[in-house]
Amino acid sequence: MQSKLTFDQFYEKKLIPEIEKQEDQRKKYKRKFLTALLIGYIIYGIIVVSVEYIYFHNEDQNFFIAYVFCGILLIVPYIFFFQSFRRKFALVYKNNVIRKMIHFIDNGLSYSPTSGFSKSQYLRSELFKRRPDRYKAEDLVQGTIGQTPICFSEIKSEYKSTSGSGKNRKTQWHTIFDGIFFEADFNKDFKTKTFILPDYLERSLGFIGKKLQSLNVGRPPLVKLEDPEFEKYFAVYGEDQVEARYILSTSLMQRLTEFGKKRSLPIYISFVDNSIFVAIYESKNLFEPRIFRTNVNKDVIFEYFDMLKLVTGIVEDLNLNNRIWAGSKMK
Amino acid sequence: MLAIGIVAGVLLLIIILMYNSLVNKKNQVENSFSTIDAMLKKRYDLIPNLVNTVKAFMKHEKDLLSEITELRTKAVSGNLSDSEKIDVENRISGKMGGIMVAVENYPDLKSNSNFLQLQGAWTESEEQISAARRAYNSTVTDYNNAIQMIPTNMLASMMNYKKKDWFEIPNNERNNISAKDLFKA
Repeated sequence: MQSKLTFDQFYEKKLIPEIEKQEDQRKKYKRKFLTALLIGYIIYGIIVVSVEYIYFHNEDQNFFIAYVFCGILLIVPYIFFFQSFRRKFALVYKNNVIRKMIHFIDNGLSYSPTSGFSKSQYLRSELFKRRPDRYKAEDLVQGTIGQTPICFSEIKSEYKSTSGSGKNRKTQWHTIFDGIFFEADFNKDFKTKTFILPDYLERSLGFIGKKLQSLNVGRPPLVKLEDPEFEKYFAVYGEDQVEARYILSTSLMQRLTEFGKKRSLPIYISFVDNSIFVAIYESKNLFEPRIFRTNVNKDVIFEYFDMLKLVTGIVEDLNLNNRIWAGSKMK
Repeated sequence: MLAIGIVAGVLLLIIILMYNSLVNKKNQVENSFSTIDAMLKKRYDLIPNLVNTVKAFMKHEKDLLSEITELRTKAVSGNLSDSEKIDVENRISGKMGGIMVAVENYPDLKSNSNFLQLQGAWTESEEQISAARRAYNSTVTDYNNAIQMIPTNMLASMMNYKKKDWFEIPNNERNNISAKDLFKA
């Protein structure tokens, strides 16, 4: 696994020239877009002034609504052209910059900016009980790290709620999960399902919280583990008490606690079908280039690198390459 | 009268719930002990294969191998009490640990694919036994808490429920079965 120091050199030597190549294109587009926007507003202003002048003497005429409507109509083509450019530009950026970063981290990984973690894979993890009505996945990374097959991508899953009826009917979208979803082949063979969820109840309510945890409807029974530090961060639910402990060896519990401490946002983990699934919340849309600001920005690139290191580091952090057990290959 | 009836009813309900919870905890302890048994049986099946494989390579560990075979025979005979069983298991673990360390002196054995496969299966079996022991200890903790805490302790003493021991192994034996020591690469 590459260190931050070597990444620093890689950034200077390989990434900056690549990003700078695209900077000209970005600046050209930005100029074009802003000029077109200015011309659009001038034309719109002329129309508004002309209409007011022609009908100036007619007090009954109220054009306010018409102006607003025209204003909105004017914005639509700009949004359309902006989105179309953003998509094309992002693809070039991701193919040239992000892909290079991923290969730098591990040569055994491939990257596809337009593909994502499949919905069926996401559902198979059973990490989130609610079925999504809207599902979007992009930036798929897959391959092997050491001997461990892995894949991960950005995911946003949402569900819909409606209230009221007739004209008052309102639809709202609620986020179920937004962040990085990771799957790796687990090195131990197991038959039942085990879930590790963030523990808010026990941390905030102590003994009562623990009692409430055991009532978690829709999850298998609570597995009380002997590591107090781990128990502070996570609540474990497992279909088989022994198998859950077989998966969660004392060393893995320590590793998961350390991994959990690295992130302030919650982490969800499940062990299903000989795979480990990890869901890491991240509200930012990662790996997207900026259009109106320069992309030669070390902080942004380093933030992406940190995220990629954190995710690919799961294999090392959880010692998944230790393949002395009869774990099966990822389906 | 009605109030007395309600209070008596509630008390009876509480006693029934406490009774059921105690019985449930006791059964869970027994169930998890039997899980350890099931895991141990898996291990017994591995021992003859392992012993036969290493026998051909190991010149100086004959005594150790015959001791393991004897211990296995004793363990599968089924005439042992719980404490004897635990003792035999601990001794098997210790001796097997010795074999795995001795492997270091036999390069041909270390690279033998059959042995490597058995070594992997042994590690898995040890991990499963360890998980079963941890599960057992967790149920024993729940059970012991219930029979020592107020108010279930009163009912438990009437039911003659006694405190159970955790599955503990001596420190030296514990060191022997640690995977880190067993399989030094």
